[in-house]
Amino acid sequence: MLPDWVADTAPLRSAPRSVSERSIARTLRESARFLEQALSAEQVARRPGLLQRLDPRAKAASIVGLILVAAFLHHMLSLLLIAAFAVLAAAQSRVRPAELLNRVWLLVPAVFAVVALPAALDLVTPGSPLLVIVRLDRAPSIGPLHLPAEISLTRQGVAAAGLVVTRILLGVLLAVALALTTRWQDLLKAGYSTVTAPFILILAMMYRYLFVLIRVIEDMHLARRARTIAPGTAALERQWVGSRIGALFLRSHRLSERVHDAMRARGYTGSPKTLTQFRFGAREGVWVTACAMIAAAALVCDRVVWAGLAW
Amino acid sequence: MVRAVFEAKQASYRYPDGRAGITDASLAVAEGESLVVVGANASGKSTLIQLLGGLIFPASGEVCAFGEPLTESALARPDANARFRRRVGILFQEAEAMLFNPSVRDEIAFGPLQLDLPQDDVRRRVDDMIALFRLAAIADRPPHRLSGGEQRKVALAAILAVSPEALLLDEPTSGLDPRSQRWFVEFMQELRAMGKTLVTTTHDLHVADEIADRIVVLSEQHTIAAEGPRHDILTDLDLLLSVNLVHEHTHIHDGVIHLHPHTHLHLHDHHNGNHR
Repeated sequence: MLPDWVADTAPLRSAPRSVSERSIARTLRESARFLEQALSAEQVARRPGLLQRLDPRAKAASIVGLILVAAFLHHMLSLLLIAAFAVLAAAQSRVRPAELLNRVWLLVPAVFAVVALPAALDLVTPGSPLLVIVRLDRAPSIGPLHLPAEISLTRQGVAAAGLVVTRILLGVLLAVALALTTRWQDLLKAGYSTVTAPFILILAMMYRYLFVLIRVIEDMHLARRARTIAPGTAALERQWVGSRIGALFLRSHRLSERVHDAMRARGYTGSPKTLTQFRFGAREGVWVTACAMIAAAALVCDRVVWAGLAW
Repeated sequence: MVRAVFEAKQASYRYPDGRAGITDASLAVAEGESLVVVGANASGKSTLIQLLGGLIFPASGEVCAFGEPLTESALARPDANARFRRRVGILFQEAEAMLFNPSVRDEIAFGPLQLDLPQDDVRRRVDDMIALFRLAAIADRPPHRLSGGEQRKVALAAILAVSPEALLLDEPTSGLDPRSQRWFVEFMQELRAMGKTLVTTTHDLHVADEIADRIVVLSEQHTIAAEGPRHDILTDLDLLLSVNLVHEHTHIHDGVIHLHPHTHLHLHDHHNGNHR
């Protein structure tokens, strides 16, 4: 028999405050959503384009090769030659410039602050001053460390910083082109070998079950919101998040046990094996040759043609 | 005499936290037989499947498969383990846990690859399974993007790719929409006609009626309450009521409250198409 009070809708004892999400819950929900969107962004990889049609191993090996060659170049023009090739290949792969460059620009402030600015100062790269940043009456000393009275950007420093930044951004550009045009599972397979097999298997499973756990987090959040009449205090919110982290840990532990049972049931004994689908056809041959020619051209220009240029 | 594929002799299992999984279970499954294990929630159906599948081992009693004792030490031998896994396929209740590969194609290839089949054979089996289960449109998709019915189909394709002699199917139709459920029942009937040994758990008596040669009933006390031919078990309403597989139904006729066991089950006679 249901108790009588079930038939009545309980009146609110006071007017509820506005039900706005606390920052912790909002962060949790939005992080989960961002992660899912970021990891599932495979739309570009599904477009019919030049890079998408290539075998992932051939593509990954050639792009890693270009990144390595870029690390040995000393002139900005040589780096820009490879960058132009990457942008052209991306355009042929139906990757819009904004899709490619937005991901690269994200790193610019960090690279600038951590690498470029210190490298351009005369403290790191001595040379002819270009712009004085700090000028003091006398040289300060901090313990045994003696600093100059004047700190400035040097011409040589700016050139070195520009080169390093361009090199890093070119590496990122190439890596983004590879990641955007290759599905996650293909990218993982590209790195498969007898030695890397256990790591690849773990990575693939982490990637796959991340989505399951994200869904669990979202369900927990929605279940709580559905029963929230008035917002709780920040302490209660932290308590809730803490308890959910614990619950999620237990759940992922149980899931991992069931996954292991399922693997054992299908004959897994600790040494993973995968279906190798490596194909090296005419398309891959043309692509690898083109990459090799660009790399060779960049090296020759860098060491011979542009050898006398400062940049 | 038909040989027993699985045999449990007074097998008992307790979970590490002390809960009983199954108590004193004795049963035999003959080659080519379709045995259905019915029972209410938490009666021990999944535990029984795990025992027969060599994933857990009885604390007392014995479980045998293909005439050999199924023990932890026996399955620790790589050759014995590979031989057993090649002959027995397990469909888990949660397809989520079974589908751990990055794509449907990899999922189907996983079992044959672990059993060291040549790559070309594996590819052929994968292509055959994709064609048989009509999975071409989703072959390269990650399993978490599939519907519940698709996930269950992929899981079944993945275990059939090894071509096992016996299949242990844990609640294969639970949570599926009517069309997917129908598809599964018909597929299990095909497997049965093909001569595969099937052990299926369910609490759906309609499914049991359609695929069982024989039924084992588990009680809520985790023991085997009864076993017998499909028809005998499914017409014993007192038994089904006592193990919580049918419920007492209260309704009013002419102002008088009636209470009686209730089931929507209409048994089929598979030989002449009669209904009861």
